[in-house]
Amino acid sequence: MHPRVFAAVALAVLMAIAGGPSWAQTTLPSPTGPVVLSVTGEIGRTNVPGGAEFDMAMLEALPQTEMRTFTDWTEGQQIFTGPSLTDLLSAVAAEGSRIKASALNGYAIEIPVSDAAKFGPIVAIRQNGAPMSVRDKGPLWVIYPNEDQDALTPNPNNDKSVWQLRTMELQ
Amino acid sequence: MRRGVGGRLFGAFEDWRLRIGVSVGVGIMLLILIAIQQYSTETERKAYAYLTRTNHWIASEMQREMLGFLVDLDGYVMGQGVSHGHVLMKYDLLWSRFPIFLTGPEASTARSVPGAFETVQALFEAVRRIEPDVQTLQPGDLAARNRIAGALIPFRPALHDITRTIAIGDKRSELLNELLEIDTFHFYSTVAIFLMGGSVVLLLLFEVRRSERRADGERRARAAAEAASEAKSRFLSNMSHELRTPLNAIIGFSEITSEELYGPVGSPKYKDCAHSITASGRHLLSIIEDILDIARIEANALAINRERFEAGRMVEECLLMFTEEARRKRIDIRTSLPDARTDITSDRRLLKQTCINLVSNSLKFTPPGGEILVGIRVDGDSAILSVADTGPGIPEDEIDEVVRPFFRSDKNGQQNLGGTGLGLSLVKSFAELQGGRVKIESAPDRGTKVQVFLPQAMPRIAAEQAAG
Repeated sequence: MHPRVFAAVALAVLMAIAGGPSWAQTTLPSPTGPVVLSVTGEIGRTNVPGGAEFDMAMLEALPQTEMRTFTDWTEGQQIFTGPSLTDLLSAVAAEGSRIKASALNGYAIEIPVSDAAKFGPIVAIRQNGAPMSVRDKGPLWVIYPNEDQDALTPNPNNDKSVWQLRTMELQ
Repeated sequence: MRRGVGGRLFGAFEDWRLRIGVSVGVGIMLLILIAIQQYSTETERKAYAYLTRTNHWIASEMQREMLGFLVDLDGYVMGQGVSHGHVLMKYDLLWSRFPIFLTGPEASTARSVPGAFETVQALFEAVRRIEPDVQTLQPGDLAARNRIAGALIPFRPALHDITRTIAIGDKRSELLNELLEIDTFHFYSTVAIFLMGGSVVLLLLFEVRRSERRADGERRARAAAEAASEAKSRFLSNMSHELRTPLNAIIGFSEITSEELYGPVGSPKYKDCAHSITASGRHLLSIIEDILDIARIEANALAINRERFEAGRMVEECLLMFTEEARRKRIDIRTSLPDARTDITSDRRLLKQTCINLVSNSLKFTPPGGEILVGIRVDGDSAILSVADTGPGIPEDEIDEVVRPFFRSDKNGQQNLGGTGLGLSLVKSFAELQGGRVKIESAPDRGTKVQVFLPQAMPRIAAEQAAG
């Protein structure tokens, strides 16, 4: 028991001293709960052969970003919370320029890595404070900011706003 | 001859820069309008196209999820390596499609397919009804499998109809019609913009033509007026020359007669007659000189000869001519010449003529026993000649009129006094030709004071006085 407590304390101290980005420099822990996200491809940090697997707790341990926004599939303003795409990519030391994002139902689309800095999307794990079920387009939903709720033109990022996200392959 | 305010306003429009500016401005405005219109049409078209595809996608995805669920359901029940967890996930995936179709803003077109909303709502209820069976499903439980499939499969044709209707049915032609309407609207509004722009351009052209015609008319009128004025001046000048020549002969010979140069004339009455002829001739000559001056001024042909001379002496010379007449009318002419010995620079002939005209006017109007004060003084660079009398004065409403050529007052019984009405007019013109001005102060029964200001007279005290 002792070494694990020590390790946890040491990790906490490290995080407190060096702030968020230093988390990325530590090794990636292994998932203990059900895997909800698999990242594969051009990444520098893995916890299974050729990939990084996340359970809900690991995603919750990443720095959380809150986004108040509108979507074309929800009514009214929504509050989504989760790691930003930037934080998630740095957690796996991602390389490459494109992400092939796939959903539970087989839907797949390419997301440019540059979107992370350009639009600041997040991988939402909570909607209005509550975890999302598959029925509510969860458990993971890529959310792009969308300030304009009644624009005539649809948001160009709609196709990349993958709900029921399951895997990301860095290319 | 002078252009009115209206002329100047239209004059501004005649400016070619303004015309080009307005035309370019209208052109740019038109282009911007068309561009904005094109852009909004394009945006609308794309939005419609996007909605068509999206609604088709939403409907077909629901159909696909239902089939996928049914296939994996069978796979699990038949024991073909599909896990119960997988079936549950497929059930959830199917479940998640319903809110998107039933309430999502994107699916509004799909919902508007007749019967679609009711069909999908009924299907959603069926999906929720089978949930207990799905949760407790065991491999080989064909009864449960049949309940589940029996609840969903009847919806397949209706679901397919919705998808088909959106993709190729009424909804599609409705969208196509809307696109067509957008195109028609686009066409007509482009035509409208062009018509609008065209009419603005036509209006501008018309306005330009009109102002050109107006300017043409003005130019012609001005030319005609100038020609008439010139003809008049030339006529006056020629006539004056023609009159002066015989007059010189009349004056000359009458002088010879009155002075008996070629021997006595007999009766002294003849001598008086000759005197009268000389006096009348001189008077006539002075009138002709005045007319000649007016003609020259109007033809811009009066040359200014600036020279230095003694101002006081010039005034004295002028007054010498009136000594006899003043004595006869018992009028006291006094001078005020504080700067008598000062040299000034001006046109000597014009200034002397000015002095003569003013004094002769005063003599004419001042009643016997009156007084005339003639003065010249310097003020800085200016020289000021003033002639004041104790005559009847000028009525207020005529002060501005008296300087007009040929002006004769018909008041105060002055009609029978001699004169051409040119004197004051010439005084004013002479002063203005030299950059100066005339100031008349007068009130009925209070006399008249005329001041002539001549700038740049460059007064200088004569050498003799400075020495003495």
